[in-house]
Amino acid sequence: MNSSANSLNKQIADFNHSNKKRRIRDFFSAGSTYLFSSFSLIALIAIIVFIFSKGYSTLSWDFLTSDYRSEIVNVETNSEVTVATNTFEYTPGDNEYFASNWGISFVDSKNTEGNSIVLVKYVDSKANTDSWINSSSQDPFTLKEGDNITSAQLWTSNDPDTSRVIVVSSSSGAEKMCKGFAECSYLKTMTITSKGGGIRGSLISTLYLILITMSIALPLGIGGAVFLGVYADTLPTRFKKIANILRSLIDMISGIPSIIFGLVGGVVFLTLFGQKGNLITGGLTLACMILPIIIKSTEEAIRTIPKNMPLASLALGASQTQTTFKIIIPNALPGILTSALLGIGRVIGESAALIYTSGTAIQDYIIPTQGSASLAVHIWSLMSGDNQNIEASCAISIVILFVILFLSLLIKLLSMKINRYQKGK
Amino acid sequence: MQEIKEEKNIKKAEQKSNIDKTVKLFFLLLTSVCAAVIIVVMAFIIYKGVMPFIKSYTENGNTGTASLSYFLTGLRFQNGFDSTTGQFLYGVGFLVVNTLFLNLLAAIISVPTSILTSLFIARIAPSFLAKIIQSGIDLLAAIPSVIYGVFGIGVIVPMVKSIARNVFQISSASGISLLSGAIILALMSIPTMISVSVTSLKSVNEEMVKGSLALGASKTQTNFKICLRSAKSGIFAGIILGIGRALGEATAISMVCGSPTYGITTNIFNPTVTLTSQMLLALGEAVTDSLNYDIRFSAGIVLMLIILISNLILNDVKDHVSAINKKPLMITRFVLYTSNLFKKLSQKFKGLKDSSNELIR
Repeated sequence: MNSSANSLNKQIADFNHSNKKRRIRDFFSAGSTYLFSSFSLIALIAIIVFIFSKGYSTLSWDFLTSDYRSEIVNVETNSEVTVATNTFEYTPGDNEYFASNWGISFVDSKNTEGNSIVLVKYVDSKANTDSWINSSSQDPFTLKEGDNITSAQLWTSNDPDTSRVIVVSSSSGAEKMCKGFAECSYLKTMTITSKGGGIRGSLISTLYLILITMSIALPLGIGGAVFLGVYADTLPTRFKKIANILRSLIDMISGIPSIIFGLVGGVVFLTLFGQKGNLITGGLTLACMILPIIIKSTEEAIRTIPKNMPLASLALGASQTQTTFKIIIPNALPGILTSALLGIGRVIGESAALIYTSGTAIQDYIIPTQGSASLAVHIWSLMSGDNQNIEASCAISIVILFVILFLSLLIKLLSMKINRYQKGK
Repeated sequence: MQEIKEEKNIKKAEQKSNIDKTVKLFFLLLTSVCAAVIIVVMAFIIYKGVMPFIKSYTENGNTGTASLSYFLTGLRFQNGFDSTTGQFLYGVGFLVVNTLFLNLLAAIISVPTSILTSLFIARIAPSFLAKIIQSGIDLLAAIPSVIYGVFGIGVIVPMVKSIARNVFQISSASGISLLSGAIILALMSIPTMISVSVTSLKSVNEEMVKGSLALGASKTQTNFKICLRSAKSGIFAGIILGIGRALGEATAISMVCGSPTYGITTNIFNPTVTLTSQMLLALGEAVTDSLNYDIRFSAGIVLMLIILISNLILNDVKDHVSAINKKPLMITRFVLYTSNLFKKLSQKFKGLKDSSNELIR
């Protein structure tokens, strides 16, 4: 009696011991899943925080709409001059110098190449700049905040015989330039370099790429998806094999790395469309790349259409063609839109294939028959040189991320619309 | 009157069916064009990639073909001209080793992470947390590779640099290294791996799970010993897909891995150059139809072969470990097959010997 109780106690103790061990093991293995899944989440948060913190200050409307290349504008005064004699009130900040007779303040800065420049920080609304004209176009010129003054020739008075000439340039710094402006009341000539570093050209070339890619890939992809989703099932068995081969060939496209597409696209399309890489060749290459995405998504949408809809259409006397164009394609429209959005997302983010086919040169004036960098390639060229410009790259990344976020939200909404059929059942 | 109407109807129906046929053919044509893309790509890569070893090129005043043996074993991408054999020396052998090493390192990081994360999403996490992580992973998948490159240069590279300098006392480390590349590559391939394995983990047979719980296994034990095992083949499919993507990745790698011109990198804190980053390097200087340009196609063939072979091997392992149709490994199959062949041959030979012996007698 006693011995059996003892053994029972021992068993219970054993069980408790092993249970404790098991609990500890469970705790650690379950904890490891928490740990590792937080790892990928942390990575995502780190990426977003980094991109936004670095790029936020650079991102502005000017950044989106200005040219990449800085432009040089020569400014002169026309003959009926007004001499700056007013006094303007302004309290300059730190390291800011204010010429009170002109109403303009200057500040030291550095451009994207790291050279020191002098920027206009503040222009009074009544500042004496009415008589300034752009010497090449003879249009009136207005000085704006953020303009980069490279050099200026100033006279103390309008009379060439008696006046003293002072020449100031950006290399002498903001303080000296301000002194020169403050001493003189008459501006003879001035050279202004516009800011540059904007991404307008890359934005437009990305839009061009999307347009070219979609206008080729969508018709082809939808056609392929309609054949595979509608006609392939009705084929006789020996032709079904062909359809399956076609399908697996299309699936294989998505397994090819984009750099290979770039190489081949560069050779095949360049022999057809000119010697140097341009937007058309880039778009055609991307169209080949996104075909499987479009076909897969569209075919899936076609397959979610309830079978009785096309059957009812056929039973009512419509031909197969009419059924395809009037029942199947309109009902697969959310899926087609999803595929188009997925494709656009891919085009915006693609870089390796475009480096070969549309070049890495950043352009301001976009012609489709000329090579031009898209947004992603713009980042690549900014980062691959000797002077890496992380701020501008992050600013472009914010633009790309926003577009992608917007696209994925749209896709989510559309997929809810596709799922409506399954819910209705 | 009635007959004429019927005839008209029949004609109309015939026309309709004719239209149907042409439309069907038209769609077939479109599909064939789509499918032809892969054939054109493969044909061009092979045609252009074989050319350097057949056609003779003129570069820097020398004329000749590229040396195949150096191409496969060389330790420098561009090693000039060998005047004794009259061949250009372009090598990708070291690039292959570097690529494989980099991807192995990336897989060491990404495979456990993606398996455990997908287990967490599919089985362990409360539904709201699972949703948050799932959409986070989806967002990670949508981020283009250049942005990963920027992130790598801005965050990962300085991090690796400080680790190398402070922990491992390597004062020359610049952070642009194999390890940075592996981390970025792992980050990029994790979303692909997770999305496939989550689907397979979610479709694990519930009865099996309940059976395990009824037998007294704890929830965590069930998750690790039942769910992971029965979803093995799906998880492997995800890993294969992710590694395939990682092998073809170019821009991010070229940004964070640097560009040394030669040699196999074994120290993870040293810069490395892979097949894809070498293909992107100095592309602007290469002129179309020059050897320097065409050799990139040969490198492309090598890249495709690596992807194909690694896919085959991983698929084989997947078949080997999968719960349902278990197969022995390809090597085992090969060894068995050859040993059987030898056995058969030796038996035949023995029989031949016996019969010849009999004949002699």
